[in-house]
Amino acid sequence: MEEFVYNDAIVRKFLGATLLWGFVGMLVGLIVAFQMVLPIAVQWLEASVFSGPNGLTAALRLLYEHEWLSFGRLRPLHTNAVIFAFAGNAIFTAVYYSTQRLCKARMWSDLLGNLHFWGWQLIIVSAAITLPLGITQGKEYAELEWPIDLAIAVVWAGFFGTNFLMTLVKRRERHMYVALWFYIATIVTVTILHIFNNLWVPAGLVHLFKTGEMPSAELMMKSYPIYAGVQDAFMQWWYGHNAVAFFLTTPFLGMMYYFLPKAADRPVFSYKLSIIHFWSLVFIYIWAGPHHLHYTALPVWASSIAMVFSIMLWMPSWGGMINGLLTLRGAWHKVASDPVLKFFVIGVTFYGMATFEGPMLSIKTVNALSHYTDWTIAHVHSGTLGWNGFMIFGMIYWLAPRLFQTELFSKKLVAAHFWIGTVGMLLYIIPIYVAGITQGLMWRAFDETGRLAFPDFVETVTKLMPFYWARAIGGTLYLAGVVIGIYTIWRTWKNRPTKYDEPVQRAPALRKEYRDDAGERGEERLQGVVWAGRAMDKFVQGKWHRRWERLPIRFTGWVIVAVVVASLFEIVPLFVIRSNVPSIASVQPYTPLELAGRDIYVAEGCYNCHSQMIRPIFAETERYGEYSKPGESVYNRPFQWGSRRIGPDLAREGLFRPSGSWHLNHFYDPRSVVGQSIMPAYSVFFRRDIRFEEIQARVDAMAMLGVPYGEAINSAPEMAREQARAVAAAIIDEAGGFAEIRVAIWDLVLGRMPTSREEAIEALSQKKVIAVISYMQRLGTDLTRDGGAS
Amino acid sequence: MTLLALTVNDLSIYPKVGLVVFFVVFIAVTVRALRTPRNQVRHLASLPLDDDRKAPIIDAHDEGSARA
Repeated sequence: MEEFVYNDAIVRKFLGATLLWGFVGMLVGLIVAFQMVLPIAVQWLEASVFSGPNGLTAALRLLYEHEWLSFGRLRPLHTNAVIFAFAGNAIFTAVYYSTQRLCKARMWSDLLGNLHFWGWQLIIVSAAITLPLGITQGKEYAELEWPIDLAIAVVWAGFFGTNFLMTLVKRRERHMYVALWFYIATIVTVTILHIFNNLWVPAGLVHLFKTGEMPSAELMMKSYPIYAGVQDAFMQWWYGHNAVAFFLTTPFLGMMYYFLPKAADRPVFSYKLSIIHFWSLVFIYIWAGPHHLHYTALPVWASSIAMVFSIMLWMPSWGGMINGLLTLRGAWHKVASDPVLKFFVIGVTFYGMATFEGPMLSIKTVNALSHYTDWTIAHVHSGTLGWNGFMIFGMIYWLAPRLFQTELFSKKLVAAHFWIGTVGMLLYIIPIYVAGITQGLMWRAFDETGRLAFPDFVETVTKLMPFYWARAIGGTLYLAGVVIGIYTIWRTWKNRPTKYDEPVQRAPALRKEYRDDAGERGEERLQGVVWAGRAMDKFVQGKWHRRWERLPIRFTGWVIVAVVVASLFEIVPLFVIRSNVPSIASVQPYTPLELAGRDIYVAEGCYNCHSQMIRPIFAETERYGEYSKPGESVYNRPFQWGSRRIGPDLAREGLFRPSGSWHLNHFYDPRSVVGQSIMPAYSVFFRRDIRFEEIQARVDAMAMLGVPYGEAINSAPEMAREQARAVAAAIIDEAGGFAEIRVAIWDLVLGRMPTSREEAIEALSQKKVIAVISYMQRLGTDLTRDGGAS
Repeated sequence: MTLLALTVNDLSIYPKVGLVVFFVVFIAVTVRALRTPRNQVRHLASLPLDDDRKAPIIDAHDEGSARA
């Protein structure tokens, strides 16, 4: 017998971090929910209640117009915080607790555990600082810039992965329980996804190596992906969907297979079903990503395969859900009195609902209605608030008395959390389902004359305000439940003993030799039978799989094979067959100024509200113009197709709205040109200068990736300055002279009114707004140039 | 440029092979699962239950601070 002690200190740390970041991430979510309704509310308050701006409305404006708090910057902070900080720390809590028990071994290295914990918290803090500053890759759920990406790879694979796998290797329980399989799949697949979706060229490093000069911090953090356009979109959603699969699903299934039987005090309903559940899920999920790109410029074959595999996902997902719920057979009476089981039952039920809806949304005809609408947001939140959130809190309430070695502070408070959270969740998702379907139907509605019934996009936004208010209230309730939960755990922690009891565990070390006698009867039966029959019998006896289940490295290897093979079937043809992305002669690289403007667009997170992808659907081509072609995106690094339309699509903005002065006024005060707009004002564009000298490094990095920049390779800043002056002059002329542009704009640009046209052009041409406008004016115009395709 | 350009027919082999590979894996795993001896399944399913001491949730606050 060997003696050992479990390392629960590390579990307690991760549990505390889960609660802290859960509160922060959801608070940011609540702020962005209110940002949807505040612009119109403040406008109404100033017009109808206060007769103009006052201290209160100024404070409220700050909440959605301060540059660090704008929706485009804050929404990625919300998603990253709840996924990687809240759910991430919860996953680590579950893994560190259950792996030790299932392996009958202490985690392999306390040092690696601590490096993992503090490294992960440092990554989260880095995200919380960089995202509000506009430092982002501009790809959903992969926004964090390259130095943080490197840190994630080291902490996830180097510290966490090594510690976990070595614990498996050193375990004292022969068989690896199914929860451990799900953890293995999580660790290896997230590593693969993270690495291959985050291959980039850092612009600052290019500048440093080329000139020997240290770039600014902003430039140093900037990178461009090695993929462009269609391929970037494909890689991003291969990553994005599988982040949901392998960060928000497989580790939580591991959690379900461990903690639900513990809480119900009975074994999982069907261990056989869990085996089929695991392999089917791992193999199918990886194909499903491109269903996020139906009707886009992604080749039809890729999104069609994704749809087929998404529908096939119904089987394993519901198999898992049924397996979870039936684990409670004979224990349903406990659900009424045990708050932990209540959380688990609702969590697993929401898993079933979300995994029914996901495949449904992947069906092309459903997706044509749902995509870009709030329906997706409702779907995601039924999964995250219901499945992830409730599984996490169920686990925390089960763990707290064991980790803190005292009774849970108050079961009534836990019940209050449960009911307030459930009501809040329903109040969130039901109105947002209605909002999404309303939005989709309004976009495609035609009147009796055959014209769009709601041609003005903002009509389809204002219609949703009541639902957005309901969502904000629902979110407030859900967060209130979380606060109750934090209070309960805090009070439980306060009642902890002065010194934790650390019971010594005893288990024999595994013998090296092991004989699996499960198939012996078959062997006897087959005495004298031919080799093929013997091999077939060996196969059906399943000894090969039982062997893997005792060999963690080999098991991990087969999971990698399943994930990589499935991925390659989609990735290889997309990358090697040129006909997937037909080139268009008239599509040229962005000018240096447009590139700088595009980088600002990316930094502000405009893709969170605006798509740049017109689908070949009649209602869309009527509203936005010619549908988007794959060849139009070949210089887009990163692609900016978006996934949601809180504002209109911008793919043809340069054709639809070529006026520079319109954009100038719109960025200064969106509601001055679109009465009910909910877009925040971007006064920062008028205050901050374009860093012309740094544009050269941006162009150089793009050129390194194969973008044919020609003369711009040596003279990007000069070319940008020249174009900026031309854009500024055109805006002033269009307005009827600089005196016709609002005084408030000149106050931001110059601190006073300019005294001459030349001074006005020079001052305006220095500002970021000119770079962004030049990018807006370029969007979608390539096809109408000479040589453009039709 | 037409929609025709988006449909690359000679790629149909990839999804076909993919589906075959999936079904082979699926059948193999199903066979393995169904053939697992019952006593072994019972042992495997009960692994989480024999690894920890019990600590039932007691309501300290609501039931007169059981710790006191």
